[in-house]
Amino acid sequence: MHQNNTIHREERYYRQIVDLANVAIVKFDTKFILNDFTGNAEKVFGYKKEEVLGRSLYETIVPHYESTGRDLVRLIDQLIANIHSYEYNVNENIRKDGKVIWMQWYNSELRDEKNVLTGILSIGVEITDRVMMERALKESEERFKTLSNLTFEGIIIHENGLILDCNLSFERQIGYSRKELIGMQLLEQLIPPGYHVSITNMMKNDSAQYEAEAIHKDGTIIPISIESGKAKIGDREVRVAAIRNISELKKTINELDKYKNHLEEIVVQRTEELKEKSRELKKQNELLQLERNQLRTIIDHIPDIIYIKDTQSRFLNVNQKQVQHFKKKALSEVIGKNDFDFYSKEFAEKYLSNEQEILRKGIPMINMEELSIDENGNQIYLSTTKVPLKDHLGKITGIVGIGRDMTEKIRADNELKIQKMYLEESNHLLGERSEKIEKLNAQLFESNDKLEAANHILQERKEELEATLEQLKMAQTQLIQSEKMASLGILLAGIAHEINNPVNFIYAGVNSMIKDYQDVNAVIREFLKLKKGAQDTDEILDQIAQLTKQLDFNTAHQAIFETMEDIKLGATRIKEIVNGLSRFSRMENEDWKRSDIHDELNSVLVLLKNKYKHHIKIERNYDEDLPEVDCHAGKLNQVFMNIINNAIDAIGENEGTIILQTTYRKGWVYISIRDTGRGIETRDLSRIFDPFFSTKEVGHGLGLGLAISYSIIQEHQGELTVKSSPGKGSEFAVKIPVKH
Amino acid sequence: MEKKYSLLYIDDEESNLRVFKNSFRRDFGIFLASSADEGMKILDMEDIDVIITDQRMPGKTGLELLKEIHGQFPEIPPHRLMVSGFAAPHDIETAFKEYGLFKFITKPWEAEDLKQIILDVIHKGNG
Repeated sequence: MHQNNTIHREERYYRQIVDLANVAIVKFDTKFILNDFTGNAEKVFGYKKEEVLGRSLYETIVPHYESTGRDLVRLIDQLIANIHSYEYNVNENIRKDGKVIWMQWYNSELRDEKNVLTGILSIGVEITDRVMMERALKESEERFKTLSNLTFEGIIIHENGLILDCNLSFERQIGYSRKELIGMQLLEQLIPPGYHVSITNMMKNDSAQYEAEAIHKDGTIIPISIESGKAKIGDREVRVAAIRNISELKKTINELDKYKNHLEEIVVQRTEELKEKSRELKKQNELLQLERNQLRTIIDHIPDIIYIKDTQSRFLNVNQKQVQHFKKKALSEVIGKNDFDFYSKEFAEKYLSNEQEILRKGIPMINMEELSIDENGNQIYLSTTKVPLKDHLGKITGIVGIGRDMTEKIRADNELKIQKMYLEESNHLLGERSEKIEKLNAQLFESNDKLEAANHILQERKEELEATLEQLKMAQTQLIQSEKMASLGILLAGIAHEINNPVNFIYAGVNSMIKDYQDVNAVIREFLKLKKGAQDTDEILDQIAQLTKQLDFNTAHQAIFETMEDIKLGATRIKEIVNGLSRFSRMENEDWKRSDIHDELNSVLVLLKNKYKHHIKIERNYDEDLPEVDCHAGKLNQVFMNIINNAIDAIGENEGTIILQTTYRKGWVYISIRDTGRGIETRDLSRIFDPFFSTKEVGHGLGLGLAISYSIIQEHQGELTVKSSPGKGSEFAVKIPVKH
Repeated sequence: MEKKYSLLYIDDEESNLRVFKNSFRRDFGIFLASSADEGMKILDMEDIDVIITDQRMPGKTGLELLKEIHGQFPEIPPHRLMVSGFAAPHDIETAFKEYGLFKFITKPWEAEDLKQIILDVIHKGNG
């Protein structure tokens, strides 16, 4: 009994302990069947003891797998096999309501008296909250680490300069590793001395950004911005600083400054330009104003009343005469008002209806006689012209009116006709004037730019035209020159050929004559030896006879005479050619001289002889009594040269004739040059004297010959005409006055 | 006695013919013609060693004459000369290539030079 009490007491004591301990006590056998469930197991797991006893662990409080994936079945197998490794174990368990909890288990073996393992006793404490907190903390730590390493800013945590921690960005910025940095002194090791004071100050307060410099591990200075604030970690009062490398920023700021300066320069420049422009505009405006004033003065001095009204017949503008007519002093007293303000209702209505019709139809009213009242109240007659005013688009914007007092005229009967004439005259002028005024108005109302632009264009045009004119003049001079050259060319070709033959006569002739003379001389010398009554006379005579035969004396003697004639002929020919040449060259600065036309014609023929001599016959029908003519002989030569040359070309390779005929009649000399060449087509005849017109192939003449000839004959106050029969021939007729 | 070679000179200018004869009568036998046709007649009748012709003549030109001679007497060695004041380059080329022209001389001629050329022609022609 006593023992039983003791046992009961001990059991109660034991129970108390167990209850107080606030642990779950679980026992299971080797087959994982639960056979005890005490302590606060029921509270922890939510099961009643009866619900779990006799059931497997895995049906009740132990999941097969943990949420981490660990296999709990395997774990407990191993636990049973080797308890020493699992005396203390933390794992997940599962409540009745399915909620997952964390338990910290203390395990020990249960053996029977034979020391056979019968099961495991596990004592567990719930540590779910703790585990959750640990996880949360770890997560938060992870988050923080990620955040701090992702930020671009370098972040350090320091206490009075002693670096406690930093992020990845700062490591990169400064070149040191985190390990190296922890424990370094911020100021002494990483900041240049110049900035110590300011950073120290900054560290005393929460600050805005400071600009400073940092020293990279490799020694380079990095411009930085640094911002810091207080923080508490545990009980420690620390500072957290954010550091940014601002070297890029500084560079950008520099460039922006440069650009800003450049822009400022540009602005100044542009402002200057604009000022200049506005000065110019001001000047132009002044000029326009001046013009306006001039026009105003003109209009105000015209003794007619002149007015401009809008489409409602209100006065827009008037001249002085109109102002006076209304007995007013200033323009402002008239402008804006209408006829009803000045005339009687009857008159004003009439005027208004006139004007309305003009505006509607767009047809001006010219010289209509109207009754009006002058400034003194007397009845007067006005001859009025009202013209619709149009803007630059052609739309009618008002009326221009001119009125003339006609009273005098109408009253004076005698002067009526004269005045009427005068009126017609002045009406004409008025019409012109009103047109002019209309134009002036249109111009006045147009913009500056258009006037300026048109002027500008005209100026350019004028300059272009002047330049073109100069060029054309130059070209013309050149062409005339080259035509002269061409004429000269024909001439020279002729001369060169012509001259060869006569030169040959002379040259070869002289040489042959020398030889001949030598032969003759030999005989003569023998003759000279003869003396009257000398002994050797017979000998000498024999010698003479022999020499004569040997040297062919007779032939040589004859040859000398013949050769002399040929030489003479050659010399004469050359003289003619040179003569003709000098005539031809006498063209610039020629005076009027009396010349024989026949000489001119003949010298031209000499010059051209080579061209025609083989196949063309020349017929001369010269008037014996042809007087000399006042002329520029050289130029006339050129005319004849041109015409005769053309005649030769027209005949071509064939046989042909050129007939030259001269006649004198009543103070005029007529020269006709007719050829039997291919003639001129009727369609070309009218253009034959046109400059640059040619019936020859390209390259054979410019077509200026006849044009120049024509103008030369004109200079001589003569006429150059042509007749032609295609296929039969042409005739050129020159007519010039004897006296210049 | 050395053989006296014969020349035929053709020119439409009488003076030229006379002067030529007087210049060379001592050295060569001279035959004269004042037209191409006259020249052809002489060639038919006489034994001529060298022909000298002017180019620009009425009727047949010197070139045409050479063409005709070449056509009629192709086996004659090139004893042909031409003398003229003027001829187109193309014409001269044709004469050299096709009609057996030996040399082209311009007026006025130098008597000694011309004599040498004539002798040249004859010797070349004779082999």
